[in-house]
Amino acid sequence: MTPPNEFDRALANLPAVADNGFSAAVSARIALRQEFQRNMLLLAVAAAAGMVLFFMPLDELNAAVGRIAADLSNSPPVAIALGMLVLCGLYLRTAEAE
Amino acid sequence: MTDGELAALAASGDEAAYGLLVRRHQSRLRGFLRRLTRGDAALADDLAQESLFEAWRKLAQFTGKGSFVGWLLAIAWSRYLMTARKRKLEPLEDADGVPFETGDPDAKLDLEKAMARLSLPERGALTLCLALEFSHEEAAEMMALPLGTVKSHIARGRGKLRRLLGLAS
Repeated sequence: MTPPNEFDRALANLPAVADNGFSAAVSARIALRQEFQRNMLLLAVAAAAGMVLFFMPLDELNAAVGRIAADLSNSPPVAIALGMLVLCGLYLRTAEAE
Repeated sequence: MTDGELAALAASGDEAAYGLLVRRHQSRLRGFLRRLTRGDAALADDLAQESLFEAWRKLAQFTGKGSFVGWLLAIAWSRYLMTARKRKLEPLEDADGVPFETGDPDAKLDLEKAMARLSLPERGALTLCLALEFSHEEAAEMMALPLGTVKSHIARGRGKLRRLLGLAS
C-alpha cells in the first residue's frame, strides 16, 4: 500500500528502463535505412543512365558530340569570343610584366 | 552538448549525434510507452523504435521551439493512438461514460497496476505532467487536447488512483 504522504512522490516516479542494446538497435536500423536509401538512389541513377544509353546508342552519341564540336569551331561568334579571350590574356600578361 | 544542438547535427545527417539523443531519452520514451501500453514491454519497445525512426525522418521539422524529448513523446503518443485504434486495444476517447470498477475496496494495488486501470488519456496526462514534469500546457500540445481537458484527466486520474490504492478519504 502507498501511504497518503507518499502518493505524490510515487506518481512523480517513472520506473527507469535499462538500455540493454535498445539504442544500438535503433542506430543500426537507421544506418541500414540510410544505406538502403543511398543504394536506391545509385540504382535509380544507373537505371536512368541505362535508359539513355538504350535509347541513344554510343555511335549516335559520339556523332552528336562531334557535330556540336564542329559547329562550335565553325561559328563566327564563338571564334570572336575566343579571340577576345586570347587578347585579354595577352594584355593582362603584358600589364603584369610592366 | 544540448539536445537542440544534437538535433541540428542529426538533421544534417549526423547519425552519431542522433544516437546520442536516443541513448539520452530512451528510458523516458520507453517508460512513457510502457505506461500507455499497460506494461506491454514488447509493444512499447516496438512503438519506441518506430517513434525514434519517425523522429529521425522528420528531424527537419523540429524547430527547437519546445524540448526535443517533448516533440519525441508527442510522436510516440500519436503512434500509440494509431496502433490502439488499429488493433482495438482500448477506448481512445474520454472515459466519462465508462464505468470505473474499483473492485474489492480492501484489495491494495501497486501504482503500476492501478495506473493500468485508468483510461488512456488519464494515463497519458498523469505520466506526462507528474512523472515527466511537463507543464499542463505542454502536455495539452503533445496530446493534441484542450488544456481544460488535460487538467480534468489529471484530476480524475488522481482521484481514481487514490481510490484504487485505498487512499480515498
